[in-house]
Amino acid sequence: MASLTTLIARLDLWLTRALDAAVIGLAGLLFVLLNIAVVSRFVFNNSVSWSEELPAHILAALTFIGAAYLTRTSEHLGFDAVVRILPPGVKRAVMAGNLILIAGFGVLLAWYGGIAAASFGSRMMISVDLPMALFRYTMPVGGALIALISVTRLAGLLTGQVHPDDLLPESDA
Amino acid sequence: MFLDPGWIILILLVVLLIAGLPIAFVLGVTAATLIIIDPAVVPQIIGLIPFGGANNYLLVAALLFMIAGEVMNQGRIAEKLIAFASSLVGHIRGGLAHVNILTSLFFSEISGTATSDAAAIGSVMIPQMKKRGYPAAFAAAVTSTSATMAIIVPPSLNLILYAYVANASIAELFAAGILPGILVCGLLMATAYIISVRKGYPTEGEFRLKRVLETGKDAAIPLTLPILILVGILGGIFTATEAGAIAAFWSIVLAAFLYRTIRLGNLLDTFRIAGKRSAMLMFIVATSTLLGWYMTNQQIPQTIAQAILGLSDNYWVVLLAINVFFLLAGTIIHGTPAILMLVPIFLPLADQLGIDRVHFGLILTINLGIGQQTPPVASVVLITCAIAKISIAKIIPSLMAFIGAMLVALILVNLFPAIVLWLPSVIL
Amino acid sequence: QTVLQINSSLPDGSFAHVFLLEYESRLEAATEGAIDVQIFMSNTLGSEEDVLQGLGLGTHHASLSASAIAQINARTAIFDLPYLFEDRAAVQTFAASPAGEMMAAGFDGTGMMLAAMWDNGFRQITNDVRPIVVPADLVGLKIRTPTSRQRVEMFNTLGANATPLSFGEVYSALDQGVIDGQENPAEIVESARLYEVQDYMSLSNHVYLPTFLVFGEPYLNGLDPALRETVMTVAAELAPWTFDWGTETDARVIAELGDRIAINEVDFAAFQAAAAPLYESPTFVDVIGADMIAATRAALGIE
Ligand code: NA
Ligand code: NA
Repeated sequence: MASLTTLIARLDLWLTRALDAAVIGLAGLLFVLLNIAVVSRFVFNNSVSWSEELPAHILAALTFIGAAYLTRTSEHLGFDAVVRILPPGVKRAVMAGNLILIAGFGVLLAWYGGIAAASFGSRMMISVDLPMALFRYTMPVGGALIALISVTRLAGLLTGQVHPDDLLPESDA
Repeated sequence: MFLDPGWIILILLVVLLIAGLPIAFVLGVTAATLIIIDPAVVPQIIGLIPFGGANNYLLVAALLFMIAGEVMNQGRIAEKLIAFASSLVGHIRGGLAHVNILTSLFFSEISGTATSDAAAIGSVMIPQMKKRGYPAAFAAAVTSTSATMAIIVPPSLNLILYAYVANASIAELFAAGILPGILVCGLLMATAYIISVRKGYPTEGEFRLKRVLETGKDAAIPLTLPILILVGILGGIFTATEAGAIAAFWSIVLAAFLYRTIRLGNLLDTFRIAGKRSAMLMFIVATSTLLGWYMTNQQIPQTIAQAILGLSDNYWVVLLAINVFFLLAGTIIHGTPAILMLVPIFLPLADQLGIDRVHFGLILTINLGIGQQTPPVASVVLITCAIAKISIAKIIPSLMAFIGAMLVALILVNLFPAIVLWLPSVIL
Repeated sequence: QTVLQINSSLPDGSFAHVFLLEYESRLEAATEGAIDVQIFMSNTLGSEEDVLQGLGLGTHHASLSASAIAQINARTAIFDLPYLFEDRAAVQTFAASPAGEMMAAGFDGTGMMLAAMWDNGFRQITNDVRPIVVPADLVGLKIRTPTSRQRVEMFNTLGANATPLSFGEVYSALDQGVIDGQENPAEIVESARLYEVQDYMSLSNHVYLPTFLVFGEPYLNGLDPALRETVMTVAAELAPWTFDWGTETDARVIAELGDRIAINEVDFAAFQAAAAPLYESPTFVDVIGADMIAATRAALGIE
């Protein structure tokens, strides 16, 4: 039992690091690509063909990978004024219910997102030779991670290892 | 179905929101529930539409302006602007309050969000104001309300988002935000002046042209950024996204090489912060697009618009109702979900009444700006209270006067559309 | 009552909108109200990429699409070949020919079926430098194009400097002189008020682009066979009406624009000759397929 907990904690640490690196990398990549697009249009007078399609797809990838990260760190925006003042037992029950809903939505994103991504087959993007599925699969991957993270935290909540206050949503942005 | 889908949506949204489910999931779970129980809708849609919502070139601009604002914040560039503002308005009674407000106007030309404004200016100005004998609550209230100019004056994250949802021109909205921003600035300064005279708050020395020129030289470089952004976007030279890229790049050059206030570690930090904030915003966009898809499919927005018009089709009555609704909504939800959820419902109504879309966008934005100042959900107030080290309850009396000034601005913008529409008609 | 939701990326008041409204009234009459047609313009039910994908997944019923359809069925990119169709009669000749059937067969296995090809119009060049009469007049001009490799290569081959830009930026880019000109149907020049920032419109007819009414196979398979037959037939029978309506509207729009912008005819044969290398270019041939190009040339009698 103890070793299982350690294993989960270690996997959780590595997952969080990977998500952190992915978010920094994707944000940095967008920053670099948009500046390349600007320089090539205004300095070299030669518009890059991918200037709209590629950044938009990368932003979508950042959205779903980032959503998993924010689920892990409880940084999604929410309204916490009422739950915050609930009695501890009720609070725990409400937070458990929320985790189940989050996990359920993650499963839907993973399942139906997987079907949709697979339907793109080997189709290429219009302006650059990258498969559309490369970006489309970030949604089912993000959804699966959201479900996985929520289930783990639900187990932690029910076994008393996670405090319900750590699961409250971020109340400002 | 046993219940009208519109009512199921409303009930689910309210119950899940109060239960503390994050807003993105409130929207997603509500949409998924209806899609699954409605036999006429194929559930595969859940795999398609959220991606389409996030796959958006226009909203890349939001990420880039967040990077720019965060670099400006971490790079302590607000200090140069404060010195310049001090030379201009420091001699007026209640000098530091005016400096605070004017700096916010400068800074809001760079930043797209009120929270980065409040953090950057508040962290310098609030301690300084406390030292000069201003009550902490007054200092925090001035910072908090003036930071709202960030979402009215271009570049504004709220206006970018509104342009996307309402299919309106960003350049027009940005041009439209300038005069209302200056109006808010003027009304806040007038309010601060009246309070300062009554309470006998100090001035900051005499007005000297030499000081204006000296500090102006320092502030000129950071101020090139808003000029670049405004001229570029309003002149149609670059898109909002390109302007965001230039703003982010230029702010990094200033902070890293000219002022040497940030290092590589800070830079990764700004990418992390902007990346996470952007993902938070975009995931709400993604799930609200799914809910929006279902509502459009059921033609719910048109039905609501017809129902409201059935109660009254008087322009002023409906406009008043819209304002009251937005103000109330703004007290419990944030700008991003408010725009994504409310605009699709109220825009058909505004169109039918002949309210200009740009005018409507600014009315909405000022309402949401006031909403940022009113608890329970008051992100900007929370930040300034944290910096001033006071409780929310303590700030409220001071806040009231400044919120009053913003309400005056809101009423004027409602009554006189020219405040919004005149500038775009002249410069675009 | 069966619901038929039709999506289009084109806006209210466009050719596509007019044709869909006509289709709605004809189909609802033909089925005596057994079907309820709902029209969603301006991508209100999802981006075009998502709508087209949704046809195969069964989440969307039908779409009236233009150039985006080439992503699904590359043979429709035949309409990217410039100076191929001299008038609308040629387009209808093509549609009824074996080449037209070959194009429709290109939808096999994509999850959607082509019901009809409707009018959308010829594209014209506007600019604020000089009237374009022969290919040499294009040399050095910065012409905005959509993000399409074929259109970019076409304008670069003719000597212009093709600049891909999203349509939302076009008006202000023209106003600021960032670009010299653009190419679109005359109706767009009027509705987007491009005549305010352009001096010349040259009736180049360089590309003809139809709209394609496509239905998702899951949706069609769920319809009663008789209803399905009516849905497809009414769509096909509407086609000639759309081409007539398009011809009349084009003539009216161009006449109206005559007061606001200088309009000239071009030397179509000279452009056709200058564009000849494109018919061999891999940018076109690899996408469309040599067989499709050959069949089209045969159908239109072009050597
Ligand atoms: Na701003
Ligand atoms: Na609030």
